[in-house]
Amino acid sequence: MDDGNVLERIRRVRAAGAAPDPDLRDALGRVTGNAELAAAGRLLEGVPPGLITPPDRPLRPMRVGVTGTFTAESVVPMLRVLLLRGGIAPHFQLAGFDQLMVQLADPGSVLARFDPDLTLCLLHDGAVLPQSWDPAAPQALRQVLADRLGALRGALAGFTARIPGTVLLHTVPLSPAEHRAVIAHRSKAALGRVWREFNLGLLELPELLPSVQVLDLEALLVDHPGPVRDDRLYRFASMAWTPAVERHYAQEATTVARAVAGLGRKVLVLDLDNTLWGGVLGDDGPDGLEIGGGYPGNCYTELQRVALTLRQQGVLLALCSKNDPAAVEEVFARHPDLVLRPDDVVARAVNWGRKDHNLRELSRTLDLRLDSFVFADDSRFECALIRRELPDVEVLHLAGDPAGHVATLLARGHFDVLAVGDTDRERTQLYRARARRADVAASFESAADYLRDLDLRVTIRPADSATLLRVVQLERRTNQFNLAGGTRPEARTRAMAASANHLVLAFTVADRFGDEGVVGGVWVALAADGWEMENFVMSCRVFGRGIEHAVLSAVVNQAGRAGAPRLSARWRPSGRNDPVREFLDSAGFTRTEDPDGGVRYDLPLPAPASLLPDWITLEDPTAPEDEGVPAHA
Amino acid sequence: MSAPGAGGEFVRVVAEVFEVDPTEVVDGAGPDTLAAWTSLRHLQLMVTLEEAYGLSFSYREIRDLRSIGQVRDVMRAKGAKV
Repeated sequence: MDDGNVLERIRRVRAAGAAPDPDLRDALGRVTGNAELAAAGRLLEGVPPGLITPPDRPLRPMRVGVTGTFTAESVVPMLRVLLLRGGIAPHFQLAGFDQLMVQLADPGSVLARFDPDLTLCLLHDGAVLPQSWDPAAPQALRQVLADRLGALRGALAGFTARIPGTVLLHTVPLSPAEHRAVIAHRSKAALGRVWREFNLGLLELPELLPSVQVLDLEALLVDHPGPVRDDRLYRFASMAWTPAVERHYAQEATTVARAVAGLGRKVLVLDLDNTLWGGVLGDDGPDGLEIGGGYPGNCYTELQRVALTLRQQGVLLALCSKNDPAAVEEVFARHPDLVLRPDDVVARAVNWGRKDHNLRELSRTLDLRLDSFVFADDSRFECALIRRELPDVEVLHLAGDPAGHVATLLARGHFDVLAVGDTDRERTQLYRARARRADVAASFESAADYLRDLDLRVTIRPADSATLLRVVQLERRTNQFNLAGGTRPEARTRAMAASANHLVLAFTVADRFGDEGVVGGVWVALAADGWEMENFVMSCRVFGRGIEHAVLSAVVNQAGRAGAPRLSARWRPSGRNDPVREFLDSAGFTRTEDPDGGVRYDLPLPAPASLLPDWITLEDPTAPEDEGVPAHA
Repeated sequence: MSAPGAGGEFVRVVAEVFEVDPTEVVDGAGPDTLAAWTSLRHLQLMVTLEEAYGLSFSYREIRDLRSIGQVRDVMRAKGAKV
């Protein structure tokens, strides 16, 4: 996105008497580069937090002390941005270069007087290792490190006795240069052991000093790209971390700060199709779902396993999916490869309604604020809708290869807390009992404002060599929005497309994010006494945007122009295709029940009112008003 | 604010690091004329330019560059359009 724009906006709110920019806090999430992040943080210093967030989403003030064994100043601007973005308005006190021991030990130190809610202690190997040591005698080094650890522990004991806030330390990665300077492999191993003992001692500190937390930075940096230290910066200014590592640390420290402030997220709301399992239940059926076995099913198994692990630590799991609730129930009850069981889920919003409304309902049902929610979905559309309508909710777009979904879910520590206890483990049962109801009902009110912003364009044209096969496939695969409930051979569709008495239409959808391609088709028999839709099929990926209305309006208009006295359709129940019946029930047709359980729909033409939603631009090359669009050959 | 083109981008990046108006970013400007040009900001300028232009300064360059003009010259020698 446009980083320059975010910096420009920060510059504007910095000016004296500037107007508030309440969306700026969320826009900070779009700053990508390390240098931009640092620049944004420097610019934000002194900006009143109230100017960058809406009045109903105030930031939590926090006093953050920063001290280190190296020059750590440049971590502060990055932290400022990430904390603001994370809902915390930090007030920083920085204690200069190599001040760590003094600041902790001296009751009158700058930091001690500042009384931080959170004190960040940044350590580097150069301050731990002695200037020189004998690689042949690792015992001597062990003693030096144990002494340093003891001194640190003593200083921390004093500091935490005086200051009630949390102190954050971290394990220290050892520079590979130190490792390589030792040539005997036996000695390299000894050095590694001695170094790990020091880190182990750090990791034990929270057991001795309850207000101390330790980030396992050495472990977290395992998949960090690039070196920890830039020797130029280190030798020139005692900066022990590259900007990328500073940022990595700032991100991890932000999750700790959020946990300290009680801002850790508590609810994970999961979509189902192509999120919790591969495939679309309504179209592929329970047996066609990808879960378990080899790739890609094992990716979804892993995601479920991770969700279960979160559940066991007190995170509440909820479902939000556009699906048939009975079919979902069936999968959860019977599918052998599902890891999650119905009892693992605290509430479900499985319906065809708007997801933002479903999340609001889940929030009411569970009596938990939306700022404790994380929403994970594969659909760009749903993710953008939630981001826009419910900015408090953290949205995770599970896009691309499912092998990466778990990493996306866990990367930013949204659910991190300081400690997990027995009540956390029982939280799901507790909330299930407390929830007003486990199933959330649909709301069908359209998201018109959001849809208007999407710039939706529906193009409908006779199926041609490029689209015919796709339409045949869609008719075969689609169950929910399929009038006939059955399918015809490809040859039949080809014959209809070539025949003067029939029409096979394909429609595509595009919006400002991109092109969805062909998402459905209409099969029409043309007769003098009227047009009959033999089938109308649409992928359930695009439900809820008014696209079916736009397509029907195009067919109605075409039939009207051709002089047909009416448009009709017959719905045949398949057990899965209620959504298309519900759509026709609401579209102004007269309805006649068939003896066999089906329904016949008739609409006299010309139709009294246009069905085209005002947020959709319909491109129909056969329509006379679309003169700029080339006619279909 | 800043002139369009590659040089304008350089001025914008430098002005951002020092939090000064782009008009103050002139070739003669250095630690003596820009109050914000502290040793730490100097390093931030170096790493910011490295990230923005995909180049790398040597230790000596980091140590010896003392003006906008010198930074520009060294970057041009490395092929950057600034």
